[in-house]
Amino acid sequence: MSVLEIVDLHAVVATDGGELPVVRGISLSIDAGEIVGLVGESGSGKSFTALSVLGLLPDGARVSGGRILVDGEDLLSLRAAERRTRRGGTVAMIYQDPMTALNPLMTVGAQIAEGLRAHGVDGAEAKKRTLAAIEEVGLPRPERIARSYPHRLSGGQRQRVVIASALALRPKVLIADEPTTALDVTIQQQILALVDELRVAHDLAVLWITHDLGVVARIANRVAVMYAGRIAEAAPTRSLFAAPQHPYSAALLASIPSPTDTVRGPLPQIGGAPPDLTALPPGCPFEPRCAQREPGCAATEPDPVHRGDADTACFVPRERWTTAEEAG
Amino acid sequence: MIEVTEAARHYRTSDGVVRAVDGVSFVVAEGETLGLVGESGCGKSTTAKLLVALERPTAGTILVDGIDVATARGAELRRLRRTIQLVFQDPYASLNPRRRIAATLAEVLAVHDLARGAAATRRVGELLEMVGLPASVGERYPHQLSGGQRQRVGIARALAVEPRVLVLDEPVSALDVSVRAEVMNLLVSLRASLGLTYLFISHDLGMVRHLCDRIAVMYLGKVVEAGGWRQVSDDPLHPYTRSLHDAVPVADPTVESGRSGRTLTGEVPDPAAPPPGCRFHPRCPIAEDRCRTTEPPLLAQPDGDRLVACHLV
Repeated sequence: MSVLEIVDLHAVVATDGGELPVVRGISLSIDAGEIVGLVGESGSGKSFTALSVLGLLPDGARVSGGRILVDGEDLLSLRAAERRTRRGGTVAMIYQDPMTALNPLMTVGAQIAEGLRAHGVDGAEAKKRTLAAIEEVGLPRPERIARSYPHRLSGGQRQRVVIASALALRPKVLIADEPTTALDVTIQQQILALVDELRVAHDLAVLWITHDLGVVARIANRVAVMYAGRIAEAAPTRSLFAAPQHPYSAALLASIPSPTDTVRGPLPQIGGAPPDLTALPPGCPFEPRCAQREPGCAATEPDPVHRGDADTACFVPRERWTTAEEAG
Repeated sequence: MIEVTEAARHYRTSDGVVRAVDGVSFVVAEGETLGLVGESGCGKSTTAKLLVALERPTAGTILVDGIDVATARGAELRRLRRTIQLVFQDPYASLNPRRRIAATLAEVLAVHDLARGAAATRRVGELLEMVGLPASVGERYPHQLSGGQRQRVGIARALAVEPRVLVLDEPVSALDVSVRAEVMNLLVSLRASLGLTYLFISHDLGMVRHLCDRIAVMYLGKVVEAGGWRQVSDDPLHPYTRSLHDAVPVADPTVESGRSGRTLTGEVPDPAAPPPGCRFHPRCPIAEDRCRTTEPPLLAQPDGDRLVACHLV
């Protein structure tokens, strides 16, 4: 059953030239115990989607439509104070840079305990749960870590502390915004394994935002690929990699060097650039760059349709794709 | 073209002597691409700085086209700067934010006495064309460019002095997936058309495998394995290279679900206090007693052009 359900979400950012539509009608649901990878390039709207769920959009940005349901409760209809309780309480977030979430002037134990107390857990119990949380994320000697300041810890340890802090309140939903991008690969591997363990142990619904398709292949049960503020394709991970149903997903996958190539030719390029959100074309936003475009694609924007295992916002089924471009 | 012999770069700090690079040797032939792989603190970026004389070695020798990098001064140093150039991960680092791109490139030409006035303008146009940018980019400021365009400008800036070697320090790591392919293709075509020699530094094994002829893997200031691109990336021998190979996520769920699930434990030790014996032994899944006491030398392997520093290989 879905724990997080995003329904037709729209978000805009105010600019000098008017409001920029950065999220344009996203629908996505995540079950308990499921990791959904949200993939997209710069400007695709993936981070705005995550920040909308948390109610942490930057100044000038706002949700302009849709619903965000957690266990059936619409977060967007809550008062500000209730929203704050949900944040951290039922929906938690971990960031690319753990220092974003850590106060450099407080010991990590005091920070985790403070978060617990803000949600009504009192002194002795907060201390006990702080140590348990630190232990659960695999940090040795929890008492010592609790007494440490963030700068005394390594990048990997800091990210573990942030995860401990995020999960101390037993949230149902975890939003992970590229939490391993800044880490070394062997540390990334440890963090990916840790989050996967915690997902199982706590039946967490995880939204994992990344641009790294390798990370998605390792950790996600399902994938949603964003382009120009919309979901181009959402599918189970294996299906998406084996037979992408949207030409953008196919082109992205094709542009990554294969680890088994023995002859190394040029990497297939997509060409062009994503559309300017201030001047979106009337048709499919990917149409100008699309190798599979047909005459109708420039006229109207496609709505998602179910094809194979996927929901894809594309008029052209795979069977009609020209073979040379069917890479991926 | 590049000959590095037992090069070291140690720094004195309040925590003791940091051995960022600690006895590294490799050669890169003309026209060849060597990939340098490793995690933070392995010394790959310090090695890059040593090659372009941004840092000087505290021991060992580094020759670039016969120029001794440790001692080069004056005319010799200018010749070195025209031979080898560095391309950064973040091209902002090499671009003046308050200057138009054309002015930045023209300045490089002037500093090296290569072209001025109309000749410089012509050359700037050529450089932009070489990296696949329209001439109009010359009139823009760095912040008006996309990440991919900025990295192309970074490459054009390095090419302005007509170098024979480029040291590429994570040149595509900060770029979007689809833009990476474009810049990688550009690097391949420039290498062919200009006969360039590359040292490609990256943590992305997939990109290293795609571009390089040979690969050297560094750990805590040392080379632990070096060999042909398929040897090192597809059939690694050193336990650290094997761990890296398992750790790097591959965009293929079938490969990913077939993994052992073994993760390398611990973190890279402090380079101011490297472990005795083999530097990898505290994290190594197969370490034995001698690994804790005796440092393994980098030895040639029977399978041809490969070197591995491990007692157990």
